[in-house]
Amino acid sequence: MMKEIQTRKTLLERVKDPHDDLSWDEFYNYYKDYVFIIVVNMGVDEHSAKDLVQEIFVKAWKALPDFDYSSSKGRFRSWISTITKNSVRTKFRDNSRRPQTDELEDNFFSDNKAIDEIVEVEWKKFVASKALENIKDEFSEKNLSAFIELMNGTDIKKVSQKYELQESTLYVYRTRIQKRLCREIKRLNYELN
Amino acid sequence: MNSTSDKSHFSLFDSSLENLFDMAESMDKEGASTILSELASEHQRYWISNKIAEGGSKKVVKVKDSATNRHVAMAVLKDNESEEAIEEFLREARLTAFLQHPNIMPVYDIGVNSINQPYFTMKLIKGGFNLATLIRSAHKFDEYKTLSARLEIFLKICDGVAFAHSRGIIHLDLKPENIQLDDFGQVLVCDWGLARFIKGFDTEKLTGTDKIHSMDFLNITVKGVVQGTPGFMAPEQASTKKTEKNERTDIYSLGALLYYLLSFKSPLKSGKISQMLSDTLNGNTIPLKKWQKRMQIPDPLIKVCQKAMRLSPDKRYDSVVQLQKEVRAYMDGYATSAEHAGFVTQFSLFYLRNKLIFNLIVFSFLAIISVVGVSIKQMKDSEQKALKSEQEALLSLKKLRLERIEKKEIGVIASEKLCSEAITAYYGYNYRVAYEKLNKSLQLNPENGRTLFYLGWLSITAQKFDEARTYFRLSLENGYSGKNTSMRSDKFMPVIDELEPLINPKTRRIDEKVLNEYISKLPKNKYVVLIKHLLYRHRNDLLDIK
Repeated sequence: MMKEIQTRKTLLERVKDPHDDLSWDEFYNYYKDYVFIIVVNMGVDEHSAKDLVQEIFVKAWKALPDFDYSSSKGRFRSWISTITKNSVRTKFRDNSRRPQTDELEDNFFSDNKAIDEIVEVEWKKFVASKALENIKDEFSEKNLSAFIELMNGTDIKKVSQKYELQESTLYVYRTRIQKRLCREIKRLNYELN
Repeated sequence: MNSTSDKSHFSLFDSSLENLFDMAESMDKEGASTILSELASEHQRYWISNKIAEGGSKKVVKVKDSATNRHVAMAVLKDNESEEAIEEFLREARLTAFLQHPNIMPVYDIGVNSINQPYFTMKLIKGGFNLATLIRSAHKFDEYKTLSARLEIFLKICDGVAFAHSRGIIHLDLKPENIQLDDFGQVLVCDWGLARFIKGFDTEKLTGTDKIHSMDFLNITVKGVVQGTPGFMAPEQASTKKTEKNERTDIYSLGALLYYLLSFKSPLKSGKISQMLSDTLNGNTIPLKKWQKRMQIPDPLIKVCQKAMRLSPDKRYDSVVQLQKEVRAYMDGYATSAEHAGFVTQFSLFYLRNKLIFNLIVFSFLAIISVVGVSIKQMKDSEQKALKSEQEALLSLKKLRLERIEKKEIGVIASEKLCSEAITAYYGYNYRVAYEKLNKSLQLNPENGRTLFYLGWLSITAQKFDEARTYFRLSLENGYSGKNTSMRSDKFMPVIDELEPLINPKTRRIDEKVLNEYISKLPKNKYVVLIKHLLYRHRNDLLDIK
């Protein structure tokens, strides 16, 4: 699995080519949610966040050909999060007339560590949910729902009753879906990072 | 714009998503060893899937063993039983585990679950059934219709029980329901819940580890209650009086099982338990003879059954091995000791088990006799043949002479036939063919006048007048005179005489012109469309003939 990925160009390598529109679309579709979540987490309201995401991607598109991509882990993620952070800061500075943003800036932007943590945690969530999205067609809705409930910590007996599945069956599906999901997470993490 | 997880109707908690991500990361570190991680991470080993059976104080459920990744049967106590019952239950588990034999249900694991319930797991027989269900639906199983197939099962049961006895343990509840089978010849003796250690069993016989384990069962007191199943329990079990039970108690049950396998019936009339118990005590069983005709039960096996099920333990077989030997003896065609066999029985059995050799000997003997017989007959035959051939030789000599005469005649006929063919060819202007056939015809019969006549004609055509004269003369001498006057040989002589002087000495042939002139003078009605035909047509074809 890993070998197969290493032998072909990752999405990031492809997207560096400014003429590769397809890859750009793919890139945008993958990252817009992540960037959006970071932006919102940094305190931008949802409405402005949408516009800001667009701005960030224009910036990224311009800067991408110069981005020195190396396979070192998390390189791209920190790059895109830096662009995002800077964009949000700029936005807040533009709207600095509003007092609440000043407050935010004081509390939030001074704490670079906190932002990095958000970037990190959001990345995990982003990759895991993307992975779930990608594999959901491979399993029945019932099994998948049961799996999600189990993962969310619902008692196995309740899940068993709710979905009318034997506990042993549930266990089998849990293992199966979990394995598949972990594989997809690993793949995406490599591909997008 | 919304977050992915909100958009999807499958929504994982944020913490769960993080967990999954971390799990994937750790998977990376652990490498491909997913079984190891599974074993390390799995807390609950058994996952209940469904109930299999329920009886007495325990129930058996099918469970998935996540550690070995297979289904096994798990026995648990029905309710929160007394401490005594729990001890009994676990004792059964230990005892069964102690008996490791291919015909005894294997115990895999004994333990206490999360809610403090004791359990033990056993082999789960896929598609398995017990002996009672098998016999009830025996008509569906072709392979068990035969007596020998059922005796095979019986011998395997005996193997298991004999092994237990060798370890000092008696089952005390042998019955069809406690024998598990599968489609592949597996036979397992189950439910050792009533099993006891044989009183006075010489533990010195056991070696090493066996001895230590067996100590667990030594201090079991037999309760003063009736335990067992009417029909299959021995008389000494049917009494409330405390009586000693030993291997012979099991032998009675084995006899009852044999009864069941032979007749498809329980040895006792079903009725009130108390009645059945007293029937057992009094040996009031249904005689096996009753089913003999319908089930075609062999006499020796009836006797084996009777001996195994004697009221008095001392009169039964001494050991399972002995009982087994008797059944094997029957299967191999020896007389069983229970039969008290006389000479005739012994001899007929001797014949039956050596059927092949016997038949071979008889067959060879017959073969030798017939071979000798046949060769004697052949000798006589050849003598007669010699006589015959002498006579035949004489006859054939006569035939030969006749044949020679015939051959001559055949020559004449053939000559005639060839001549006819030659004539046909002649009228078809195939002079060369006609000439060859006529020559052959003359060889076969030099006296054929007709052949000579036509050769004469042909010679005229070839303008060989001397030869023509000779052929015609010979033809006349051989009596050929033709069917009509136009065909008479002498008729042509003057023509020959007239033609001969016309030959041009230079070419040794008659010139065309001269010939045509001569022919035109010939009286047409007299000769000679024929001569004309002879002289004109394809003459050159014949001019080269010597």
